[in-house]
Amino acid sequence: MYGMVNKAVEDMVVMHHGESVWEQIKIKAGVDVDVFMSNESYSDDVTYNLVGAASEVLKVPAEQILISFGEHWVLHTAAEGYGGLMKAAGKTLPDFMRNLPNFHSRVTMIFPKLQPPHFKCTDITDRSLRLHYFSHRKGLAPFVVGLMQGLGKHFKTPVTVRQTAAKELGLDHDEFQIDWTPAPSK
Amino acid sequence: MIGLPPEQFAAAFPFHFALDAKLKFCQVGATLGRICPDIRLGAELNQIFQAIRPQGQVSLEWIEQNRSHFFLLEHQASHLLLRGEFMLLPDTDILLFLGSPWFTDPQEIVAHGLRFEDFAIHDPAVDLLQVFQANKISLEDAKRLADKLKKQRAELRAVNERLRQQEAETKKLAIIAERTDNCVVLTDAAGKIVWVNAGFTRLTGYELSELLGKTPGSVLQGPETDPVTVSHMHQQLSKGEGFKVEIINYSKTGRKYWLASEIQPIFDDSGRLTNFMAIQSDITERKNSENLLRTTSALQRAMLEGAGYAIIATDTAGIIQLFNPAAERMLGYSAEEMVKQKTPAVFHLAGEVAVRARELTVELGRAVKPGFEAFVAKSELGQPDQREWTYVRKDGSRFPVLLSVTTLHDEHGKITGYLGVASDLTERKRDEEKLRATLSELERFNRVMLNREERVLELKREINQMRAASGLPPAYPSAAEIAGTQTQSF
Repeated sequence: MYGMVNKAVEDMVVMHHGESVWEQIKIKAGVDVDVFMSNESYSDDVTYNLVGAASEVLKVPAEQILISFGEHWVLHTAAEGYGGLMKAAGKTLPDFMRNLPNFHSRVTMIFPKLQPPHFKCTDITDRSLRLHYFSHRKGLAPFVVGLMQGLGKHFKTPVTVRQTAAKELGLDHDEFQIDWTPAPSK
Repeated sequence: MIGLPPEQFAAAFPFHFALDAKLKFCQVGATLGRICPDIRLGAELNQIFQAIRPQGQVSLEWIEQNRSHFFLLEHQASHLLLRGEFMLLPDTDILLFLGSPWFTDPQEIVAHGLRFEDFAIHDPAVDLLQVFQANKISLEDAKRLADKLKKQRAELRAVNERLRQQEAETKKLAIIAERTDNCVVLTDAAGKIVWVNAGFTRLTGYELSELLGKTPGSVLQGPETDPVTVSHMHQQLSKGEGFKVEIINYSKTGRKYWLASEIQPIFDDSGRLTNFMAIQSDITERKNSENLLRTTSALQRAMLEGAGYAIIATDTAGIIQLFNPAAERMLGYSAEEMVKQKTPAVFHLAGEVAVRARELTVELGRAVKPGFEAFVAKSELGQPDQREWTYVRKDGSRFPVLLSVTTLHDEHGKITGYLGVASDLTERKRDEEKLRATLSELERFNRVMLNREERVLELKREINQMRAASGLPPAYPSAAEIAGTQTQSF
């Protein structure tokens, strides 16, 4: 997985719990990396082990960690790294969601070694959309939930996220129903 | 060949413009027109844009000369950069510019009032921005890594320095551990020996090679080792706590000895128990002298408590330090009210003390004060000082004692106090009195008896003389003989 993902886990833990807890989590996860290079590809195990160890050390279920991590990703990691691009991508949540698939397509073009997920938005209205999440990785649906909640906060458009279909149930991807209350038009 | 209809052309090139032969705008892409409103039809290119690359005054000839280059034009009012190419439309004088904004920072998109939707989908300008951004992030990561490495190198240097100091310190400690007469034993967390010093081998006779992997107890303990102490040790070890014990151990040759042992757990930086360290010393001699002392003290106590003599010890200033039960009985004071409170002056007659002081002044040829000195001046000279004194009881009654004073010394010969042993003379005085009375009675009786015997003898002599006068033999020849002898001796 993309080093930026691991870096984001690190940022989140350090921000809320401090360096020493992060070191503890790294030791528990058996991860001996001083600095994650954002655009390097790391074994998926690194991320899974870090999330697992964080869950143990912080005594929070892994699913909850992934949700918080998704929010942190949008509100801090992406905002710091790709803030300018995010702004250009749209002023509203649905505008942004329309551009989201392109972000990941470009990642594939720029870093052929990385295998980013890919997103598709359908049924876009001014108050809802259906998000299709395609990934060869397992168990990251809660991360997507966190991402959507983070985006809701970023665009000041609180969203509700409901998973309507799961890869675990035999589909080739996960689906989420995203609903929000439209901002009053100016 | 396919050509684009005008609407599709406009959608595919939202930033294009067209110039006439005088380099005046004759068509402007919708988006470009929106963000650069000064580009009006008929305006001159040179007043609105300047060429950054290639450099030069824009003219038809200049453009023609640089056909193989791409052009970078700067919109002077907004500093927007356009990257693209000029092409001369065939059969016309119209010069077409096809291009797109050149951004190196995503912030510029918003700053120029643009959004992704303003770019044609085929246009890689946004892709490039993402490349720039990823590159920027990579550089930041590299910088972070470099900073971290720099910090780590500094830390490593500090650690190395500390290690060097520790090594020097360790060397010193190792010499001490090796040379000391104390035994030093290092075990692992399970209590198995991993190292012993030379002192240990000297005392126990065991070499390290015979001990490795064994617990000290399994090698050293024996029949007289106290099992309660051993189980206490096991308890402390299993709790990982330090402790001190004194225990009987046995050397390789079976020699029994007392060992004082201080055992400390050793933890690593993460708080994990890694070793136990024991420092031990042979205390057999101390144990023996403690035993002797215990016996002697018990004996002394029995003597003090049981003696019929008053035994009173003082410090050098005369303050009573010891007041035995006999002294309590004789004087009516309790030890509690005397010890560390009073001097013997309490139960002496001041007059007697003054007289004794005067005597000693004469005898020793120096002034002896009429106080505590009067009791100790003589014994301090190493001379026996035994004499009679009158003691005054708490109730005021008096009795005679024979007091003998000895000076107490420490091991350096310094005087530490005085010891007085006093016996009650009341009985002895009474016995002496009785004896004296009996003797004088006996003497009187003797005198009486002697008188009587003389009278009988005289009478016998008189009878003998009277019979002799009548020519009769003496009736008492014994008296006559004596008389004769007596007579002869005259």
